[in-house]
Amino acid sequence: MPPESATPDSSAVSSSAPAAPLDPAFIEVDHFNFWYGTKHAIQDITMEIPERQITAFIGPSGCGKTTLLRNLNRLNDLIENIRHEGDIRIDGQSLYDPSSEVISLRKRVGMVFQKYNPFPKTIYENVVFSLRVAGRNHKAELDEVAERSLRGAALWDEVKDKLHESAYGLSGGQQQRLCIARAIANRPQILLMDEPCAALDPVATLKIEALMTQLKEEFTIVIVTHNMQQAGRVSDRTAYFYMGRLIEYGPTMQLLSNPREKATQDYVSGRYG
Amino acid sequence: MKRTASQRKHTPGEIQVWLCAAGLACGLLMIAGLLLLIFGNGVVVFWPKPISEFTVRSADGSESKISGELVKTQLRRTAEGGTKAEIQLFTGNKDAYGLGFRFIDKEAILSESRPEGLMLAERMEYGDALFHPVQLKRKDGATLPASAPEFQGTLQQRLDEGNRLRSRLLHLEKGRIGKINARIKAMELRIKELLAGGKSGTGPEVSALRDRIAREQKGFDTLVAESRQMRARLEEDELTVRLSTGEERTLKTGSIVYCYEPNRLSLIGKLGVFLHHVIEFATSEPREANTEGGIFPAIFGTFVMTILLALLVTPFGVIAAIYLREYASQGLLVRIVRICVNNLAGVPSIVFGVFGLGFFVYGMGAFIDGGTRIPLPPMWWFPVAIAFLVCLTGSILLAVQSPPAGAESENRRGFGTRLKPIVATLTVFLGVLTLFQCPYFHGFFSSSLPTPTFGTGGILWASLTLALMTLPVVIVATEEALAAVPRGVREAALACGASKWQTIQRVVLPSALPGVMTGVILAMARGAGEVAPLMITGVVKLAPSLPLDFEAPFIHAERKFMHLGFHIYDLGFQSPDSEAAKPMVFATTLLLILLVVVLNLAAISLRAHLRRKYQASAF
Ligand SMILES: Nc1ncnc2c1ncn2[C@@H]1O[C@H](COP(=O)(O)OP(=O)(O)OP(=O)(O)O)[C@@H](O)[C@H]1O
Ligand SMILES: [Mg+2]
Repeated sequence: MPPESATPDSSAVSSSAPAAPLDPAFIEVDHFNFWYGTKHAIQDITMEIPERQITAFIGPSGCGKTTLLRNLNRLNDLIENIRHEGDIRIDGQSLYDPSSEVISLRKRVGMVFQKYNPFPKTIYENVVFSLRVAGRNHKAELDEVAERSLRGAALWDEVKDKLHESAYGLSGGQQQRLCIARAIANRPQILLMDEPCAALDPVATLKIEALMTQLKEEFTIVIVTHNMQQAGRVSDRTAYFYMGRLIEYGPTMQLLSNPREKATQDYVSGRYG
Repeated sequence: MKRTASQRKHTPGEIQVWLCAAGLACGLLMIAGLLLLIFGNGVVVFWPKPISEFTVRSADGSESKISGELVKTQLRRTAEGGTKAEIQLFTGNKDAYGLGFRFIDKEAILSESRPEGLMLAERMEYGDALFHPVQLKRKDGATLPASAPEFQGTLQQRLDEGNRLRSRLLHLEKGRIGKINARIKAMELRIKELLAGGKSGTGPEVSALRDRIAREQKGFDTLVAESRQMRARLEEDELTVRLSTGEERTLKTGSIVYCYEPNRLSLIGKLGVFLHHVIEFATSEPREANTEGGIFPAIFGTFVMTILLALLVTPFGVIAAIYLREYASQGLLVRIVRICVNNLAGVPSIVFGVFGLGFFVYGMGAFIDGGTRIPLPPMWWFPVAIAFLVCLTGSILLAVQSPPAGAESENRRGFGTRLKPIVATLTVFLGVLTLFQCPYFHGFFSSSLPTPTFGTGGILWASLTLALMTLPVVIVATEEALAAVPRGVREAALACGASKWQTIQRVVLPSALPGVMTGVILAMARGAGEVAPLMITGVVKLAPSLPLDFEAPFIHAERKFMHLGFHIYDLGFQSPDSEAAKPMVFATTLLLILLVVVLNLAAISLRAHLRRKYQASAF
């Protein structure tokens, strides 16, 4: 664990009044710009994301939420013709520092995708994948991690009898929870969730929300959502993006009920577009 | 108001649909016809047919008898311009008549009968014999007339004994005598080497070897005597027979493989003979210039070659496809490479054969046998070797130093990435040059030169040639399969902290595997039926031994082999007796089709298994 863990538990603070002092930043986005070819997808965004809290990204479709999220673990590097300016720092260290390694970064930053994407493997192998690629192959350890992660993702009871069957035999919601289990298996510090409930029914959504509240004891969570109620239910802080810009960012209660900006007001009250 | 087309109640039927359906129907009909023709002709060969005895009036008015199996009836143009019906008879008894087939004018036939006592004997030589048995004569002079009740049983017993003796003889000659022969040859080679190395001909090593050769020679002689004795025993018993023409002949029972009375067979008896023929065809070795006996060596050769081909082509094709699809930056160069690969699939197979002959047989084979013929002088070779080492170090450094694949960010991609393929190509080129021009390597089999070991066609070279030929199929199929793996799972793997190679190896390849298998199946199907390139890279009409046996080192990659496709060609067009070989052509074709089907079914079921295991996407 990084030295930041010594700071006072911030989750307690966030639920207090809107005027609470700013929590110490864990992820710092510093005048960050990003281009897909000539498309300026992220325009000069500066924000600080605190540790062990849930931060929600909201905004209309195509405003750059996913793009920013995928920059936090540098998954956008895979795309051709991209370019960035500015900097992102996690725990004080720049992601773009030549000495920082992408693979070790991604080991610290787990990700759950908008569309669930389990591997064509057994449930068990899906969960322990990140350990296997890290070269950890002890059966006992893997078994323990698999059980802990699956319990963490509220999936254990449903799959404990068919761990060695194909992951494709699960329902959509179960597959998404499997992906969450996979993302938390190697105990990352940060968990990025891109609309984790977009494909789920209300029951599964509630399960996953409960799960997030529980997971934030350990992880710093960034979640992208289109669902304002969800943002209100689970997140501590919310950021509203529009056309690649960060319009407003603050404690969720304040942003949803009493936004400073007119645009935010329109969006959260459903008058957008 | 006029109704426009879109307002019409009934839209007109579309005639194109019928054209498409007709095209499909034609295609299906042709395939069905092909299969039926081959199946019909191929299976009929094994079914015992009745034998008729004809009384024929010859031109001078005299009457004679001839028996045989009716092959076909046809019309012949006579000199006067009319037509005459004639029949073609399979008469057998090539040793007595000179020919196995005969044409008879239908007019000349006075009568036809089917005597039950007529017997058909399949022999080691001269093909089938058709006759009335007269008596069995043993070596001590005792005779048993054919009318005796125990005649059939005794004859069968003789034949069984002969067959057993023959298989023992084969084992003795091919196995034990062959082994001694090989040992003696190896020791003689060793002596030759020692003498060439400057040892004196009377030195202790050489004389010890000579002693051992003498001892082996003694064992050899006893075995040869034994085999000669066995051969003599095969000659002992005689069967006196009367041909339909009236001529009496004697056959050695030891030369008869199988005999039955075709006109006396019940349906079950016929079925038994049929099964016997099928089994013999599939499991025994050919006789009589391949027109008789079985084709087991050809089945086995085709099988081994196809498996070897699949084993060789899969890794190369998959690795090439992975590089092309996953690593190479998709620029002009990769596009050109892809076009070249696709064009390679259209190159006539004989071209690959010529390449195989020139490169594998005369190049690599000769190199393995005896090293380079014209090596570089050391003063040139050393710089080349050093350049190779430099390049090797360079490429290793490039591989280690460059950021782990998948981690290449926009500001890191650059010089190293561009350089990699160039350095790799240079390294391979220099490596090959260093190896092939090494002045200090004199081959693994130089002592047996000028008889080539690998420097002549063999199953390894044939398989390699076919692997090269089918490489595009595997590459294209694998590329497609890789491209079909959803982006999501790749990103998920990377997001879990996997490197690019780990992603490919653990996630992408398993889900692409069924598609890869499809490519391998296609490659196998194409390779198994290919003949032209094989003819110049290792297939022979009659191989003395199988490419895989129980003699160390078990896999004899340098051996020549037999192949069903070539066998068909050989039977149909190179056979001394093409009439006799014709049925074998169809039977062999049937077997070739069966073999390809079996191999494909095996591969398909493997693919189905993989798909079930990694049911990711369907191809
Ligand atoms: N791979 C890409 N190549 C080019 N442009 C892209 C790419 N991915 C996204 N974009 C563009 O960047 C902008 C931001 O996209 P992004 O996926 O971040 O939106 P989003 O906020 O996640 O939207 P949604 O809520 O619909 O998921 C969009 O206008 C999109 O067209
Ligand atoms: Mg998105």
